[in-house]
Amino acid sequence: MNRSNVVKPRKQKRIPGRIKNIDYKDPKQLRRFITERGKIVPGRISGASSRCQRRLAKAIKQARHIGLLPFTEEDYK
Amino acid sequence: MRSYETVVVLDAGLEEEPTQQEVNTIEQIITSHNGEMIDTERWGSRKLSYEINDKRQGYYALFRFNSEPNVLEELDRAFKLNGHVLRHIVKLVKQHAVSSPAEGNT
Repeated sequence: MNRSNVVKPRKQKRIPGRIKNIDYKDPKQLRRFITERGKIVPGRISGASSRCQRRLAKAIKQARHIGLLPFTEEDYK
Repeated sequence: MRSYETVVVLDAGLEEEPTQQEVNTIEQIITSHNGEMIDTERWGSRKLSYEINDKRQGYYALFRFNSEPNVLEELDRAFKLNGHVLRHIVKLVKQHAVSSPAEGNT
């Protein structure tokens, strides 16, 4: 039972940890960090550094408030 | 003086003229309290990501200004009382890029 054999290879990071110019007014940019259902993608998956993830989360919530992003997308697909 | 920006979502069902008026009123509130308007960006009508007050479209406008903090209270009050304002957000920003009419040399 050598567990180390089952570890999957790490996925290549597509997004660098640091994300510049996080802006709640830019839904296009923020879209990349929500799922098609509208959920915020967790930091471990989005690859954003903790600091950027916090900023992203805040920006996404503010964008939701002013209707630029959905809280939930019920009929996606 | 501090630098702020505010995004206001107006009812897109309004005619051109009243919309214009709303935008002007907001600018006036700022300037009448010794605020300093930097600029106003009209994004125009966009689809809302979800229905707000049964509306699917919203008219977006972004105001950049410098003012004392007490203006925010006044703005907030005005927004809340105004039925045409669907959503608003006010944010403190570091510093507006200087875009005064006097074009300075870099």
